[in-house]
Amino acid sequence: MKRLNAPKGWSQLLFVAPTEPWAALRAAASAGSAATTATLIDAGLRGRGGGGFLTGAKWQATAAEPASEHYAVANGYESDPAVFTNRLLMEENPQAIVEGLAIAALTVGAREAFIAVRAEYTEAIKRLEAVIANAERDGILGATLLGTGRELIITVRPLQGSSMIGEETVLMKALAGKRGQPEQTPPYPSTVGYLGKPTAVNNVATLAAVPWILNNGAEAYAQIGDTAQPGTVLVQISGSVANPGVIEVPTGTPLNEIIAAAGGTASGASIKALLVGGPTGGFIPANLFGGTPYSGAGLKSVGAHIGSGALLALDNSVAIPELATMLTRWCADEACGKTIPCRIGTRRLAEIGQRFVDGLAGPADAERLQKLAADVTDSALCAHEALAPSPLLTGVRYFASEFGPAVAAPSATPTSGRS
Amino acid sequence: MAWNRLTPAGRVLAVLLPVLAIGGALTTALLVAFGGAIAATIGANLPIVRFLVAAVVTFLISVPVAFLLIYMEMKIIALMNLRIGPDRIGPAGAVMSVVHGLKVLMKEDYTPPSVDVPVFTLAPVVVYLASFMTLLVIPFAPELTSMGFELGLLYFFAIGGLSVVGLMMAGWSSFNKYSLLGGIRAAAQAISYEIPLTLSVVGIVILTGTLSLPKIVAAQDGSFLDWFIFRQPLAAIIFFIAITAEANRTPFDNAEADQEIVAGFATEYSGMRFGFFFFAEYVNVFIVSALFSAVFLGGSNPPIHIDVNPQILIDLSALGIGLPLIAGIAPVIGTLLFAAPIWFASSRVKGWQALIAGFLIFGGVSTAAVGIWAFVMLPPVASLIWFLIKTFALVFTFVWMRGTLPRARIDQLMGFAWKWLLPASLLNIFATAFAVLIAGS
Amino acid sequence: MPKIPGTGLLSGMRLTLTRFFQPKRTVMYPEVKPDIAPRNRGRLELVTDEHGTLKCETCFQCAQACPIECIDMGGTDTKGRFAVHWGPAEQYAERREESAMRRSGRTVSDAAAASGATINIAKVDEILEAHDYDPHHMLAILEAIQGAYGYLPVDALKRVSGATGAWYAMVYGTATFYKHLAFEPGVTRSIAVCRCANCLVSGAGSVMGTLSYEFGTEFGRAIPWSNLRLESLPSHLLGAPSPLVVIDGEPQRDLSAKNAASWAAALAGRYAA
Repeated sequence: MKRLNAPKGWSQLLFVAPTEPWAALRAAASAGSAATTATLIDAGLRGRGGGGFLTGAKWQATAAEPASEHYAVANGYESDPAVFTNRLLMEENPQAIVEGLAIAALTVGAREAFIAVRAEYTEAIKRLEAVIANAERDGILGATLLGTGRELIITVRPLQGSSMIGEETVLMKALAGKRGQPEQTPPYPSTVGYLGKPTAVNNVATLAAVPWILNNGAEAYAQIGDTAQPGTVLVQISGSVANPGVIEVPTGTPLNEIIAAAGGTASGASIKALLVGGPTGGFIPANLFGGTPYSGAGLKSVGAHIGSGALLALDNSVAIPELATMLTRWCADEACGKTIPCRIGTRRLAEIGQRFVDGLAGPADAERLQKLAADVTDSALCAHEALAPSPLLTGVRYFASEFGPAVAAPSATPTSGRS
Repeated sequence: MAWNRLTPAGRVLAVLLPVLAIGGALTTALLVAFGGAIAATIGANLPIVRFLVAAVVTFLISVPVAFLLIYMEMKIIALMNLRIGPDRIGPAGAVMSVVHGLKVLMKEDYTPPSVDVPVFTLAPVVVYLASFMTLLVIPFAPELTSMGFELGLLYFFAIGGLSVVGLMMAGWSSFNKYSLLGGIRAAAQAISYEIPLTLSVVGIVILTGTLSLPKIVAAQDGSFLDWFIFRQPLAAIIFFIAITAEANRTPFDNAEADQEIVAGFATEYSGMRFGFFFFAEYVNVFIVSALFSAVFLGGSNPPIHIDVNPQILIDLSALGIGLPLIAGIAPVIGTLLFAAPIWFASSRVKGWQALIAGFLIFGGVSTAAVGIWAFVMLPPVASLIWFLIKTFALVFTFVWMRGTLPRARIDQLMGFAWKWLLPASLLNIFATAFAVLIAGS
Repeated sequence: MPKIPGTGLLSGMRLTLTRFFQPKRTVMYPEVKPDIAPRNRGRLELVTDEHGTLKCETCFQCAQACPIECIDMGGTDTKGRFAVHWGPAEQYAERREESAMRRSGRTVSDAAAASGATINIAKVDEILEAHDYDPHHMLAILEAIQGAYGYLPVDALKRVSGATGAWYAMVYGTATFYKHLAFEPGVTRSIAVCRCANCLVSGAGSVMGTLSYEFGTEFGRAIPWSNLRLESLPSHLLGAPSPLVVIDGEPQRDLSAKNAASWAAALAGRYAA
């Protein structure tokens, strides 16, 4: 899995190591917490982990929470098994991530910060730890932060054993050595996080952008990409494209341009749909590629979401019902088991999908699918559950003919219970 | 007709019908052969015969009366408790008490080893007899009294006191301290309440000058204002309370307090022996209500004399041979007559169901007709029916009290008898005597 | 106390007389059935849907919720590791004290901790020392213990609970949640199939189906006659082809949906226990 070169005109900032290491950290230290968050809010940086919150606002809320301890966590745990965007980022630009995390910790007043990484990413762990060790040796992190009296200890925490750890409340639990089951939000981790203290949790891609913003100014960042959600997103495009790989894409880019940047359709194939967002993502049919910008709002309008940043190009040989069912079954197997609608509902959804695949679906199954999907989404405690019905719902919506005559007319856009 | 292929009902009929037929034939033959001699003997000893017949009839009706009272009690208390009571056995559960009786008969008759066997065996008999012998003096109707002799009231109290002996025998002979306690309590209660009981009717005796029950009933002839309950209200109240205690009814049922001392004096009794006590109690209730209605409520006198003389005389002998014909054909015609409208009116009713309904309606109508004729034409019938109405009203009141009132503690009820009822009855005597003196002079 | 003696009795009798005439409350069962709430827990019964599939997931929620612990379930846990029961601990021969301690939610008592350990417990102590006896590092501690012993021995878990003060139930809760922790030795080798979207598109589903059919087991479970376990790969190995099958950590580059059956036969021969 390699990085692809982006076409001209696409800003590239995430893989660019800061020219002067730790300059942004020093600037943040001198500017102070309020100014830093103001800059980030002006830049419009939003979380890349799928939640899409304004990062500056999140840090502000965390810092404002009265507590004896604050924490900052970088979420480098990729739940999607097929995606390596964060891995590449951690391997190639660990400096920006560590610096971004340090700025976050400084802003919220944390003395301890963690980088959660998949235990299989041994190379990434090594490189991150190397950066931290160098920083501690140079007195930038560790017992004294930049020579001031306060301490800031950043630890890399390898985690494995459940694909739910990528969810932020689950991550809080896993870091504390507990069962990885999500909690109801609100209260968000900015109020009750690691060990019950306010914690600022950010994806590593979000944090990697922070030094760039502080070094180059909020204005510059706000001009990149979509106005509502500025900046770039790491996208991994694979499947029936000529050059599968990871591309850094400015938000708002239409899907067909992304496919073109990956070399276009592979020879001898024709793309039927894109699976956008990973195993809990949505299918987008080929006719919508031109009109759908790659941004949170744009994808939501067609029933998909950025998710893990995965784009899987499916050609005509792929049967949508079968793929959707297998993805739903994956969701069911990976479910942590806390809520009944997820634990059992995803299983039932997979069964309904299987009936469609086997041609045994009755007239009631289509309606049951919609109702069950609505129930599962409405009662969701975490994004895994809220988005688990997406493959089946978008499959039925756009590829009704493949599901057989039992499928009713497409329903309204399925919305996630978490905005 | 193989014996083992018959149902039990069939077997009963197969035995009963020949027996009845043969018995009837024999009796008819005997009567035909010796009819004259038998009639002469009866005519010569009419009082004795009359007494015998009356006694037998009285004994015979006492058991069904007991069944009826048991059923009434179960049903009325249930209705007062917002339940329905027996409703499955027989129409509205009417056969329930019969079933109870049969069950009691079928229970194991066990005599505990250490009891005093002759006393143990005789105790239920004594209690039962005490109740039934008092039945003989109840004035059901002027013509329907078994023993209307001069000392009726005194006889009643004397024999009624015998039941105390029976209770003591039961309590003592059961080798059981709790039974003994129960027996002692019962005896103490009975003795204590006998004094107010007898003293309260002294006022009546003063007013009527006789102890004969038929004469006391006759003294209340006229309208209902002549009833002694209005002329002796205090005596009525005392008498009522005293007979409640004598009959061991709530609130004075310590002797048998089901919830406290198992069955009190009757703890060691099972099966039919217990059934004796049980029946004796209910017959006692009936008797005591009958006495109250005879002494205070005018007995068999109607509340108001209505002088109608319809003179519906049906001379059955004029029909001659037509009588059996009518007796045979009338039921058939009546059944069909009443069945036809039912069958035509509803399409869901089958033919045989309509016939049965018709038969029942015919039975009801003819009974009502005969009953009304008898009521009007035969004075004993009317008197009996009035008597029974009053008696059962009293029975209802006893059952009502059982369903409402809590039990009195033994010391409370003894204290009540000695400290309140006794002085009150003495007061009643003095007042009555005083009044008679004033009225007389 | 009524003013005139006797009026109390009479008012009581008046009440019962009114009751005599009021409509009765008896429910004429069985002609009239009582009105039972639809969620009445009258009888425990497993229900099936119209396709005959049992709806019960053996999720133990009912057994855990039952206040009198009268619900019991039997079977192997979802990872095919050990037989699980949830009933009064006294009834089950295996892990009696275990299950009681686990359910009690308390730290391992001194007596239980002092009972002789069947393993060399010194390694556990070293690991605990290295992690500063901090229960917040439970996951790391357990991973280290698994690294030291090859699996998680019960005695080690008891020692962890006793030394760190973490509830035994919490230790077990964490240990049973994460898929890379094992409770029994021996089943160390695994055949894992990746289920990421790319592999699913490339036929991982049929590979899984073929393998589970050939081995006669299901994914997530041990293969009965061997020391192998069928697993789902947590993440796609970098640069590995699709569909990805990993045996003992080695990606198999030639296995695809077409030759999965013959592969399975060969594997069966090679890894027989």
